[in-house]
Amino acid sequence: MDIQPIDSGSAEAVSDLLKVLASDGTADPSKDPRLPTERVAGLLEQMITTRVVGERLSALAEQGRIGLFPHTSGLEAAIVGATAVLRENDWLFPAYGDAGAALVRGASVADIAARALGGANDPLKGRDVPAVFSSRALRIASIGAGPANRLPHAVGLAWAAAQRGDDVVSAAFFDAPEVDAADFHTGLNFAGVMRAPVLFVCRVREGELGAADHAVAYGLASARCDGSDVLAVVRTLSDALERAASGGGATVIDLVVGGPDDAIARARKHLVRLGAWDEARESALVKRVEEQLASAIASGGGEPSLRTIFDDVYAELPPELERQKAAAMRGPRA
Amino acid sequence: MAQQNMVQAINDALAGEMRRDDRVVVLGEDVGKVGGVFRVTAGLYDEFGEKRVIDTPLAEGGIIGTAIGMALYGLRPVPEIQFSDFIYPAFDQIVSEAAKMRWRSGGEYACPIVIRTPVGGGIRGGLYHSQSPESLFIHTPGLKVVCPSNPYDAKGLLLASIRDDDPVVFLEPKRVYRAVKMDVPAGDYEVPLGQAKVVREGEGVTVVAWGAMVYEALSAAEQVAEAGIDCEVIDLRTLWPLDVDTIAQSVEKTGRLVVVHEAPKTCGFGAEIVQSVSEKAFLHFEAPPARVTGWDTPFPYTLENEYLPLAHRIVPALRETAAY
Repeated sequence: MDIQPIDSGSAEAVSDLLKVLASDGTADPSKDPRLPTERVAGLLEQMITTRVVGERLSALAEQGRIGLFPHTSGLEAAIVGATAVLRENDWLFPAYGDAGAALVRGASVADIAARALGGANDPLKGRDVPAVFSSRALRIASIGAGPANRLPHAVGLAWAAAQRGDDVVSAAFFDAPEVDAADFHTGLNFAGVMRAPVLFVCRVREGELGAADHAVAYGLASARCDGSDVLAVVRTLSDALERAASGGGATVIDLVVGGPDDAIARARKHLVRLGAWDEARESALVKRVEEQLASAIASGGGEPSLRTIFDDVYAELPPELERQKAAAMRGPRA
Repeated sequence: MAQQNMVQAINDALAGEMRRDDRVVVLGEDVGKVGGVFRVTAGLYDEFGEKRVIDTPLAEGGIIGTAIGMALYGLRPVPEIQFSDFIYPAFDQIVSEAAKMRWRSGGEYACPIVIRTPVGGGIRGGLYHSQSPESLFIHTPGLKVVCPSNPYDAKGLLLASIRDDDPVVFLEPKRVYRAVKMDVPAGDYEVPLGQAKVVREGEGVTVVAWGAMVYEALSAAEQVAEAGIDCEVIDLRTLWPLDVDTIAQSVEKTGRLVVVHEAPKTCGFGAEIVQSVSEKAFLHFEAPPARVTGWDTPFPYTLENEYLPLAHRIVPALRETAAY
């Protein structure tokens, strides 16, 4: 008997995915989300800012001045496009290294740098590695290091908001290797059972299997698009957000990156074609971001006070921690 | 005042708090229509409906993970884990996420969830329905750990736990669930977290216990009283933060300390209690502090009364410590 092997590479090739922008920067009018041109220029600015910040902080990490800061190079359209779709009241559960998402939500370059430096200006008081960023004001959740651990959190938060009658969607960003983790499946399972308005946003690089194929098992919708095409990302996420906000439940989305065209190059070509972008604007932007980074890095020195180790473990310091804090403050210091 | 067992008292606390505070939700396996495996949540689904009492999939990590998300949005979730033996799939969510949320977010996000879970042996539950994993959670910065021994404390401690702004692991001794009845006020009251209670005063030996073992400690104390050994028994009630002052004050009086717990001996909470008391009252010790605990083995089904540190094993320890 001739048994054919199962084709494990069933994920579509990038060329078959939903795409708005062609390599030459022209937009497919039948799929174009039709954002105002200046809005698209804003997305490109945030993508370029994300890359400059990532490169600078990664270089700082390579010099040993800060801890690991993973490259998100190539993911800029996926991160910026997906975040830009979220409304102010929506919540973001980012992946490690998604500084670009924080920028889109309203963090400044200086905020990202201060966080990465882990010094006295760090809002997280030097407690986590440089690539983690959270902010209640910006509705960016605090994430741990466990793969897909935040997916059930996104489900619980979205469910809670719906239970309170609030029009809120939560988005959980993750990378394809996290699909293997138990909490990926748990998150999707609970989202299906609880009808929670969640966007599960998976960044899939070349050769990786994505998340979207798993959606059907949990009764969820799925979508795939070219993750290097910022307009395709916006279009796909907008549709999913609309479905979630209108009671249609969660969507599992693969943003497939790694095609022949760089995310930034493609958006740039599109805007140049429209006469809305030029070299002068880009070099002014890059110069501005580099200055902001240099200034933040120069002023980010100094360690947080030793006492901050003991703050926030509990709402109130228990007696044993009071004793340990006193002992630490007496020294000796490292 | 009505007589209630611990199941009724906890049910009463949940219902009362859910009426008082609409942020409180209950979730877990079969906690809704069935009312929970021990019927602790019976009637809540009928009164509060599916938006307050949620039957979840059978996945403990998902129960705690979604509860964490609910807490981030401002709810006060009270997830139930059917048996503390089944809490391990949720261990990562409890230890890596809930416990660290406030600290890692620079104080911006709290995680006020109360994880209710039956604990301990003595109901012929075998090795997967009898464990006492308290040390694993006490060892984790950011968690509070509570274990009531009676219906009155269970209600008051649960209300205090739900109103606490930190995550609480609330261990319910299942052997006590229906075995003890006592007067429990119908109204609202709290038993403050972090305060142990002297449940028998004495001058000779300090005995520390919690949960179901409080009754064994009291029974052993009565047995040795006939031989002139006068025990002071302390019910910890809250395991963490530890009320070390109450124990140390007792040891300053008695000079002798015996700690009783169901969990295995090695790295059990007894070791921490002994050392913490030593740091405060070492010069008062007149005998080596002793531990009477479960063995460092899995929990046996048939021989469970040989595993548990019941009165017959506490009595010799009290005699030896008193005679040292």
